Amino acid sequence: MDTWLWENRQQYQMFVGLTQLLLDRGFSPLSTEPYADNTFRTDHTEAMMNLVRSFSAKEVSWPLRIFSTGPLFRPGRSWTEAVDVEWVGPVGDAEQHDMIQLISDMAGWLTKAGIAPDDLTMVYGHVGWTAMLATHLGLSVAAIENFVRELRQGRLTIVPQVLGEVSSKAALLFCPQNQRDFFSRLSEFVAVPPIDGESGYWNTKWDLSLTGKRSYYTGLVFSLCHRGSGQPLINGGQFEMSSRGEALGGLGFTLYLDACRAAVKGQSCAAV
Amino acid sequence: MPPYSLTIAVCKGRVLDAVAELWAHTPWRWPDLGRQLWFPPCDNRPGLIIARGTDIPALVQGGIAAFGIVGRDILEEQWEPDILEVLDLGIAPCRMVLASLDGQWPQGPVRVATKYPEITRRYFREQSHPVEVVKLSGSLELSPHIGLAPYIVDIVQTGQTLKQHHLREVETLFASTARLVANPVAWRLGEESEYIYRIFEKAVRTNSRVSGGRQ
Repeated sequence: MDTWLWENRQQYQMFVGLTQLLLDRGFSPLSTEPYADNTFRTDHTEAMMNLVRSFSAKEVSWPLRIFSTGPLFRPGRSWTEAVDVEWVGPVGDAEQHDMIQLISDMAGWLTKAGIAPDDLTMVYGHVGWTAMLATHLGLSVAAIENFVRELRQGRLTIVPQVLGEVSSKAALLFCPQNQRDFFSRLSEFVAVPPIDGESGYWNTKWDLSLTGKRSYYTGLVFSLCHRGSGQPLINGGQFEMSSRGEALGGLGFTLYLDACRAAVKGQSCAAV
Repeated sequence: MPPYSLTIAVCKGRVLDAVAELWAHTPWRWPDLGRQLWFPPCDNRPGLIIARGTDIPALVQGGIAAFGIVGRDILEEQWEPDILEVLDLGIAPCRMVLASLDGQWPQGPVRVATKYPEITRRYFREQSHPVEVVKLSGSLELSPHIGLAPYIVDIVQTGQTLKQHHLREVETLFASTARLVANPVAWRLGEESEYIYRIFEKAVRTNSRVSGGRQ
């Protein structure tokens, strides 16, 4: 039992440390309901946006920096403890840079907790660029929608089916590769401003097959992966959501505390 | 690239037999299976876990196996959103079919016996046809004869079993082959996972040439 309690302590300390970092950066906590519409929540974002919408837009000082904590239900499996961080408002280069910097600081905190930076890799994708590329290659709107839907489902076999005969060079963009090769290849098809996603705390890869599983992701998406545990520690991206005729957008991510703890634990075991 | 550190989980049964044949087109040695279900990674091949098809997605999602090999029928029935389907291996082909004694599309609400309730419900929903699904775990072909359900949804390879039970195909829901699935983190991070994928890709091409489309 001692080991179990020690591990729980370790996870709680991780939670306290990371949420303190968010408070220090001006993010405010929100409470979201764990049960709504006859089901347990699988995501904080929608509930957070509903809370934001309950205020008149004139009452809100944009952009908003908010976060919510608590368990997420994983149908067919169990629960995972999560921290959901959102920047709500217009997203430009500066906001992307700030968000990547915030995640880099969190990754720095995790490396102090025991995770080796060499084991962390940030994988980026971009739903908007995928659509631009597909348009450039002559795919119809319906075909692009289907293509992105299949990628969101994890069916990467759609890539050779759709792009195999159109452009094998473009298909390479849907495999993980380093920042320089990716932007060099992408620039042959579409002109986009490169995003500097690098950090001293992770290796960087780009892969357009990463789209984020949720349909509200519309732009940059990312996943901070830990080699040893085989699990993502963070998933997130740029989103747009509309409800009752009102659109809200921003940039956010979910940090999975269970996966972080497993990564730290694996590192400790490896050290032993 | 060797020695290997990653593991592949392979579905028992006809998929396993087909994988053993495909393996002959890789540089890896196929182990003497016997009753053993786990073969750790070694110098001359990745690790192997032999498991039930329905367990493969969970093994891959949890990172126990970096790759899994499982039929599309299983993936369609219980899709695990946290894994990636990365390659159609083109082996262990079969079809998911709707069958009955008369081979005619049902008139009005219908009862269907199947091992695949999700696929069946989804299919009839797409057809806007009311359905009651009876979940069974085997001997589906008996259902129309014993009055349990006039229709069945099941996988067929040659159709011989259906014929033996005097059943006729009404519709093919989809064609299925074995798929290589991957843990997203292992897939996106590892040189070894890319190496293993390339070997499978090449083996599939060779196998396709050798079999000359016989499958």
